[in-house]
Amino acid sequence: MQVLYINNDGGGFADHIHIADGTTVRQLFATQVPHGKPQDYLIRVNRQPASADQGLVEGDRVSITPTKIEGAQLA
Amino acid sequence: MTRDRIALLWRAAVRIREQLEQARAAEEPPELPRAAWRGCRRMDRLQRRVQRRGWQRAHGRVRDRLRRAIDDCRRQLEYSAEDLVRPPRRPASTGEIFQDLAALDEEFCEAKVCLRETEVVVLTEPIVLEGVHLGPFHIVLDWSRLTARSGAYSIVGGSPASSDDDVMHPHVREGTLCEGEAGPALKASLAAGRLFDFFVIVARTLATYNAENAFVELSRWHGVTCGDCGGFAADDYASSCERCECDLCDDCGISCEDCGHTACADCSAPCAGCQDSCCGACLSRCVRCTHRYCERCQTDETCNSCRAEIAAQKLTAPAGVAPTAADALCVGEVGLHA
Repeated sequence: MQVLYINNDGGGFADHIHIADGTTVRQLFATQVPHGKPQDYLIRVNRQPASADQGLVEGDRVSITPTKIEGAQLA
Repeated sequence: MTRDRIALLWRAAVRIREQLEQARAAEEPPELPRAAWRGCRRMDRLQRRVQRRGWQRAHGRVRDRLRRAIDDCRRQLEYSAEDLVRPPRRPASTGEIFQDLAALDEEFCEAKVCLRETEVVVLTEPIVLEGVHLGPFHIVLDWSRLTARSGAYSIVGGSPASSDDDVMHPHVREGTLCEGEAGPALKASLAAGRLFDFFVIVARTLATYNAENAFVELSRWHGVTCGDCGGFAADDYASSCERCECDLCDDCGISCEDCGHTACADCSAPCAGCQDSCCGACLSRCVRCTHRYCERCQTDETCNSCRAEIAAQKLTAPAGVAPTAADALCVGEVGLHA
């Protein structure tokens, strides 16, 4: 099935990806952010908070945003 | 959601979509990280200066800052290179923008859309960074400025740093967020019309403190810069000059021996007689020697030393010889000879 996957870390990524039927939020996170910890990110499905075990369905919009994003003083 | 609200959000979504199409048509080549490069050069100059002067302790810290500046510049260059090869982003549909606007109500304390002002405004939760309560912030997006390279959004609110009224947050000056790591993701989300993501990214950036790159560090948020020594003084240990109102730390400033008011170094001076510190208003010039004295060291505009000299001269002067012009007590005459 196809979902819209948005990763707001770094340069940002937003595109449709194919995932297996029955993929959960936890499983998607593990494959897309293999070195990240879920607690370090805001994970939203269709713009709503989602549990780790929530199953994804065709057309879902999944966004992942780091909870800590460092601003900076202009040079 | 009420019908009026749905209608409002839909109308806003239509206009935002139109603006995004215009922005896409006017899209310019990726911006090069000039500010990040300037940061690298500044750190490089600093490191060379530290090395020349043999400041070993500072050398390690500056070297670390240079490395971070280079990493930041390299990361931004990579994003620019990716932008060049990435196919043009499809802006969000009107329906997607509508859903983003509708979802803001639940994600934030408050979300408003104003068609006349062409603004979407959200209110964050109160932000507390390292124990410093900064208050909630409004993130104001002006969608009419989506075609501009910058300035499409501003940050309003918070409580300013004691030492700089323009800094309402460690990474916000005069309403402008210094985006740092958030820059590329913010640019991508705005270009694609992913307004929900945009506001969430800004909110997370406001909720994160980067001590290495703050306009005002949180450790100095509630305090002042001493006008005399330039040091930092926490609010509880600060005072101010009662003449010019500049801020003073605990170690600086004097208490005038005559009037008791606090004065800075510029507004005070030692009495030429007793050397006690007095504010400028409590010192007056001796009409004879023109030095400045406190009220205890002078009488009738003449200091005690000069009075003693005059008295001595009178005792030793031959009878009938008038005192010299230098001894005159008239201010006008002294002025001519000063």
